[in-house]
Amino acid sequence: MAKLDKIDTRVIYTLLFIVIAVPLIMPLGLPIPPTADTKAAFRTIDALPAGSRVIFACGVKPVTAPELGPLSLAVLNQVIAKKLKIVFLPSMPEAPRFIEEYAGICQQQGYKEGVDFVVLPFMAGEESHYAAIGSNLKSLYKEQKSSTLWDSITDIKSFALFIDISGGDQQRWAMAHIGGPRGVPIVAGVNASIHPNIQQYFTSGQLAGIIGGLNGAAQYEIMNKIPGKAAAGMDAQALGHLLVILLVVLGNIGHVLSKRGELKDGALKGGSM
Amino acid sequence: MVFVRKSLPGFVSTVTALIILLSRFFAAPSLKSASQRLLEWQVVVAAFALGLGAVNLIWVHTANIRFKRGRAWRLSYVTLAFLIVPTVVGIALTPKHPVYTWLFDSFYDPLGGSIGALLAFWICSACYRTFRIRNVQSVLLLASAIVVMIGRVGIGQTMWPFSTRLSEWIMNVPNSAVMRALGMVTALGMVAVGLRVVLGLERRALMAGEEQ
Repeated sequence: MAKLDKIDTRVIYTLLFIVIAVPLIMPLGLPIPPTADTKAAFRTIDALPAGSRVIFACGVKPVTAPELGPLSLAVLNQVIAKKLKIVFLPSMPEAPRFIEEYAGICQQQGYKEGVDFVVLPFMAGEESHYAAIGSNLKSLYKEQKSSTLWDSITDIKSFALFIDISGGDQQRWAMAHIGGPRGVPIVAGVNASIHPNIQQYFTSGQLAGIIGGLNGAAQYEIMNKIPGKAAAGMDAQALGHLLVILLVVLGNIGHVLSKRGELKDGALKGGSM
Repeated sequence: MVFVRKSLPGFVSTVTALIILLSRFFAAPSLKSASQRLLEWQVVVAAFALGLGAVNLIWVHTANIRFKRGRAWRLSYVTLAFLIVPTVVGIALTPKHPVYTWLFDSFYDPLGGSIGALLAFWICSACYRTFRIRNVQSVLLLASAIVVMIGRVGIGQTMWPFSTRLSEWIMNVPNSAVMRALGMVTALGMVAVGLRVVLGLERRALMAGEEQ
């Protein structure tokens, strides 16, 4: 029993692989209850009238794509269903490739580029990029091709909502330079690891909603009634969490038992002297 | 020359920071216009910084190959190939060309996703090895981690329905309180650093590699 805190890493990796792979092949159909922050994000977008302009700031990159990819698609499906006008804004150098895919989805759903959606080019600068967007969007993108949608926009206040999906500090920059000073509501889509860091902004009202990680994306898909990759992956994530908890408990049991064993050995050695 | 290397960068930083800072407090059109122009210039400077990063990468890896530095110096060939080939293809054929998108979709996307997927295994192993109950604080940490891990997935609803509400409370109350405190402290630190830049006292970045 004392060896419970010395399980071989290969055994742990094998167990995790099995626990994740089996539900992907044989889904368990576990419930996916929506949390308050995801419900708030959904309701915020749902409340927008058709034709409202939204910025879809996309910071998806290959490392975060497994989480943020399904999340972006879930939000995009709702935005398209609500017939909102979209301005895609890449906030990471890799994002334009993913935005191409989302633009393709828009076109498949009958959206016309220039009329219903516009794709802006990537610009470096991180926070100063966001500050320039908040300050004067049209001046920053003065080379952008003229179109019906783009010409109808005067500045950042022309947008009813700023949706920011990324795995870094983009939501903080958006709150500092767009949400706070310009009064544009912000909905955030983030990795599960970033979620605890920005939860405080939801409770304070600075973020209108947060969709956190694969769990949030799955909740969103269920609320949208369009289950996708996120909902399919939740069974695997649930069992993975259980395995981690079990391993931590076993590790602590083994640790306590081995400490007791050491104390006993020490007492015996001391007694025999 | 000393003025260009040491004094000019500090002077530019101070003036730039002051213009942007003052534009936040005063509604003068000239200040707003100057601030906007500086932010747009910063976007251009940041783009050059990306290019500088690529130059540095080439410098380091060509040196690795020339001097056969480290046991894995041959991997520098791979790094340089993956840097140069997409760059040349992107410039020659545009990033929307099928060859470029094939390179991105076949190499970068799956490799990046694989790194993200490997994190799950590393975190699982790390949690098992490091989460040990040693004192009251570690008990609280472990208990809240378990509650949040169970409560945020569907199995929590099935096994222990209260875990969902409890995990939301942990995220909304103690977690938010601590993150707010951390955020305020970080912001105060950033204000202090910003003031040092504005006053020309932050010379470390300007004198990198030299004795102060």
